[in-house]
Amino acid sequence: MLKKYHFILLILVLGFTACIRNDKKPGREYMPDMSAHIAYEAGSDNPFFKDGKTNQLAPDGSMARGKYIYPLSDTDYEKSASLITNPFQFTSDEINNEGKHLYKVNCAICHGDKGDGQGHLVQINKFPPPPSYLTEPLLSLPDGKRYHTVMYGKGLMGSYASQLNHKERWLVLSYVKKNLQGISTPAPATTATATDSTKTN
Amino acid sequence: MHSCKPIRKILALLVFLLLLTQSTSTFAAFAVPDVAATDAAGVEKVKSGMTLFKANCTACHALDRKVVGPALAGVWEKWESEEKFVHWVQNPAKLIASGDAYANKIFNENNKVMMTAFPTLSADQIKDILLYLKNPAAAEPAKAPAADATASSSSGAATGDKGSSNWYVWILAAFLAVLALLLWSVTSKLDKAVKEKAGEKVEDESLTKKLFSNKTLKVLLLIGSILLVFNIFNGAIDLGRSQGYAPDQPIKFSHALHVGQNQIECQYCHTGVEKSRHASIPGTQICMNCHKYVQQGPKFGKDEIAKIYDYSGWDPDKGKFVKAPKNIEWVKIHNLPDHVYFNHSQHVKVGGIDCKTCHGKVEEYEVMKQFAPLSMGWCINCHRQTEVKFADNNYYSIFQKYKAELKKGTKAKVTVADIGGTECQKCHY
Repeated sequence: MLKKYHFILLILVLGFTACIRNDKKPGREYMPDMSAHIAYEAGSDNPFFKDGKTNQLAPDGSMARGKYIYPLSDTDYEKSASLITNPFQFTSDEINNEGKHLYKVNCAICHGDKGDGQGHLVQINKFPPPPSYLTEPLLSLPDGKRYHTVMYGKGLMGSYASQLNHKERWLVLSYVKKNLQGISTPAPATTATATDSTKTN
Repeated sequence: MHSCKPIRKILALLVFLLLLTQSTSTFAAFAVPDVAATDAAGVEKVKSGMTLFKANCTACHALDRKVVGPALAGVWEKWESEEKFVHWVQNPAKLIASGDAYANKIFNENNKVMMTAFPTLSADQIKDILLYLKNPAAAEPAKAPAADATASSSSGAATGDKGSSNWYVWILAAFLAVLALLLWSVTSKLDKAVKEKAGEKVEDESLTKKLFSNKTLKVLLLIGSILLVFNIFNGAIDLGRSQGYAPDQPIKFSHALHVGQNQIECQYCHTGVEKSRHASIPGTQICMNCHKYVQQGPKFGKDEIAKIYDYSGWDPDKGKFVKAPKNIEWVKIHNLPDHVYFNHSQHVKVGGIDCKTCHGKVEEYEVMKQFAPLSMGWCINCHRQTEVKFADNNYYSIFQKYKAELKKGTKAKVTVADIGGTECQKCHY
């Protein structure tokens, strides 16, 4: 009789505790022997480094293989016009697929799908409109200044250096130039620089 | 009353003199005319000024507050002449180099960031912009209600997440019902005892016997115990899984606001999702892409955004980074066991799987939570059912035989399981 009573009590307790679940806690575990990570994961704490992080920057003076080093500093906007040119020859497939995708993810939210500066954030009055790609100051902006802007940002635009790598930056710029602005000549860098130098001192 | 009059006169004179000296001692302002809403030609000019302002200036300036550059409302009170202001807009570097006192003052006040020159703007266009700055209401009278509407709709979208707590209510109700039944049986037993003591003849059948002979009660008890056992099994299955886990985060970041209302793409912040194993949690510099400008949220006001400023070391008043950035210690929600390998780029980039498949309708989550059980059965089930996206996908170019069979029609579909998606070593190694 006592045993039967215990059994019923066990079922009752288990049955009701199984219902209790706090969404703020990850929940219960049973024998999580091989679940916990022994190795340190990216983004986890790490007691072996001074700053306590597993993700570390490359040591000073070292450089990843094939990594592009941008030679200009934040304030060299004017210099970028003549120094920086597009080293890639993208196929129109690359521009239409990858370039378009990258533009849609990173730029269209403010600059708009057409590049007219009327992105969704602008239309719902959350962010002021950026200049349009389709009118003059930006229409003939030299490639170098465009790249410099993506690297360091300009005005309210932040830097996209961490989101886009070297190739992706040029892919986006090629998409803007070819598909949105309709400039198809592959290397107008020299002429663009010439026109620009007359405008700014 | 009579004696007051001369004193008043003297006071008025003093105030007048004070105002006169003040206005002459500060920078000489220039006048920008007011434009009435009825003045059609003026309104036209204001509107063209607004278009120019939005096309050229808003990347750095706002009317009423400092953004990258200073607030522009009242700019006519700061410059000594319109010519100088036009000169400044067309070529600020030259004006600074010429040693103009006010030009150098604002250059230094704004962290020595050189304003972009606008040589293409004519003096008339700049005057139109000034007209708009003086009379912003004339150009767009409907702007204020629109802004209000977005603010109210966003606060209205904040819905409580109460779905999960319904369980407790039912369990509590059942528990109370059982309690009531027990109490009832106890009281009736006592009642019977009292009556017996008083010498009354009571029917001998005990209450529990009565209860258990009742057929409906028996069925109810059976259903109850089945539910309980079912619950135990369910709870046991949930051991080690965290479906629905929605912990408090250091910043009350709302995906419902950023993804739902603002329609920012997932990959904008989770930049690693197409390139690496990790979707990656964005660093503060990605937050600051927008939040250098957006300083107030619809739900928590400035409190939560102030936390980003604290973490990133940004001073919104000075408009620059003043401290070293700190880590935001987000609580990790999706935890796979160590013996499972999972790769985001393999699923998102190669497989073309939508984020929602595994993360649910993130655009509706006020608080981020774990949508999928992340159990092995759930993984395998998806691998068995999902068709491989062969179209326009170079990653699967080696599966020529399958592609030929699909074309011929001998094979209806190729699932992930067909290309090795259920092999143990695919995920466990």
